[in-house]
Amino acid sequence: MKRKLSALKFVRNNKKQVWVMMVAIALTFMTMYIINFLLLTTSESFKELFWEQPKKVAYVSLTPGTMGVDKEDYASGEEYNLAIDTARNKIIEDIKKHEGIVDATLTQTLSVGYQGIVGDVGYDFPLFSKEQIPEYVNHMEARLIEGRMPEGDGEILVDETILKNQKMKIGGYFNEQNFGQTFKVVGVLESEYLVCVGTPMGYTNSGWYIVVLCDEANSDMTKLLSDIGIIPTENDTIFDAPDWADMYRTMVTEQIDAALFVILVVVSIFLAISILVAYVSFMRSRVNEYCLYTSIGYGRKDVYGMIMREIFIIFGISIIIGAAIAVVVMICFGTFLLEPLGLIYKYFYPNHLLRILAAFAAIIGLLQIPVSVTIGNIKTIDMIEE
Amino acid sequence: MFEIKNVSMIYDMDSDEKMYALNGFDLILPDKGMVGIIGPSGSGKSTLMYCMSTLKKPTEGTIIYNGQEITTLSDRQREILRKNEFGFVFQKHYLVPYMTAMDNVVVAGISNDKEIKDKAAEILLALGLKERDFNKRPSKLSGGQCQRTAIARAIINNPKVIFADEPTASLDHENAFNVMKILKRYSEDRLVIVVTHDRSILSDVDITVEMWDGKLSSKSQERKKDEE
Repeated sequence: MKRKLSALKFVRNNKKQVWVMMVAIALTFMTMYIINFLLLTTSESFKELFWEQPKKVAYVSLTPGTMGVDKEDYASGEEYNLAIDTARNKIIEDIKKHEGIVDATLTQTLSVGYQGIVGDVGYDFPLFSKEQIPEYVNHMEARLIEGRMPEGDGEILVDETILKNQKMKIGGYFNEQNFGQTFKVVGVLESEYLVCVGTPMGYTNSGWYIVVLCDEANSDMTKLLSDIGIIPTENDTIFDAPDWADMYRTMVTEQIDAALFVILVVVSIFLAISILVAYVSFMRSRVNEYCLYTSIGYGRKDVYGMIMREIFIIFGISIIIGAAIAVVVMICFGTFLLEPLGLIYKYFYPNHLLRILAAFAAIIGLLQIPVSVTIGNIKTIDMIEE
Repeated sequence: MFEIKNVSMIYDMDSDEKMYALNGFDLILPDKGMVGIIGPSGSGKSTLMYCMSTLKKPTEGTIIYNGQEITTLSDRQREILRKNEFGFVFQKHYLVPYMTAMDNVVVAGISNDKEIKDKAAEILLALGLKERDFNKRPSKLSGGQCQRTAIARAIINNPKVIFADEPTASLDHENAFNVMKILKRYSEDRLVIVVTHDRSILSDVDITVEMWDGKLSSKSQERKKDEE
């Protein structure tokens, strides 16, 4: 029977050394994952806004040229404006007739901010007449959970997440910093898509859009407009699902991914250097032990196997400890930091976890260098004694 | 058991002045008994032991062990031979510092854990260690206890040959005497080869091999004749 050199003996009998290394690896793992967790909370929070909300509502603002109105054709400004209104109304009617469209309305909009852990984003929401609001709330699958529906001018319903995030409250003014004491928060909505809606208060100069309530299959406004014979140009403003998805990819996920990758690489390099230094020292202090093993009949492969098993045990236990600490830290962050900020988060990011594990695998791969050098330099006792 | 024919070991092969650690050495050893190899420092006694135990490959000549030429074995075959057939006691005990006395013995074992632990305990007790010492690390054991643990490690697989290189060098007289007594007992049905420069510990050996400049000294042959 062939006995293996036990890796557990070193781990069990060198608790101080092994624990120092395990704690270092565990804390590094935990830090890496927590950084991922916090940064990805931003993209997770923004996801509903960028990715989901535009599948149900789009904002379109077309230039007169796109609507087929040329100023040169009209003698006065009045005639010109009337032509624009007529063309726009025609387009709205055509949009309404399109398959998958619930409604289309020319309305004012307001913008609201949403602060992530890193960066923030602002988005527009419509200001409808009070009669239109229930239809919009219903279409957006939102539910009034506190307060009341708008009854007068300048009354706003705010999603509960945005309410927390922007530190607003029922009865308070909506975005007082930008709009002064114009709009009042009268109700809180529970919704999947960070839905806000309200009634206008005169002319706020905050933007006019054709607000299109659509289904997911018809949320591409460029395609929809071309279906009704309108070809948008780059001078037109369209906030629809493809546009938001593109912004989400380029401004959120790619940026955060790039930042996380840089952080992962930098942390991994520092960890790799410290682990390499520690391991070289570990192995130097054990040269006589390795020499003894080969002298009494174990092969270099046996010694290599033992060292690798030790490394796997140390890394394995460290990662388990790191993961356990990370879970506790994430729960604390979630409860005491992210929820009060109205941020959306989740604990498990399999791709990023795999990326961190791959970094640790690469460090174990790097450890092959000192391990191989040590194995190559193993002598038998006779050579030591000489 | 061992048939050594015309074995030479040359160090500094590339230099003009070759250094012969062994120079055309011949020796035949039986299956059991205690063999003392004695000689001054640099006489080649340790080199001879290491060549016989496959830790070194001689430059030329043949070493036949139980009918098998061992100088031509592959590294793996030599490792297996060392593990299954040979036991080693070195000048320094080379116990693994973080392991207990028991683990230091068990680490050399070739059978399963339970069996080897029982056997290790039995041997350690027979060698005079107390049960309470089994879980002590080498730093908590005396020099004599460490060397006895090293002997236990050497005999755990019941090897056919024990190679002991200056096994008493770091011990006081009493401990040295005890270690030699243990080795003598083991040599009743096995071969024990002890390399030393201390003639006083060889009083009980069955064969004395005296070496000088990598060759067998005439004294060793005379002594054998005297004993016969």
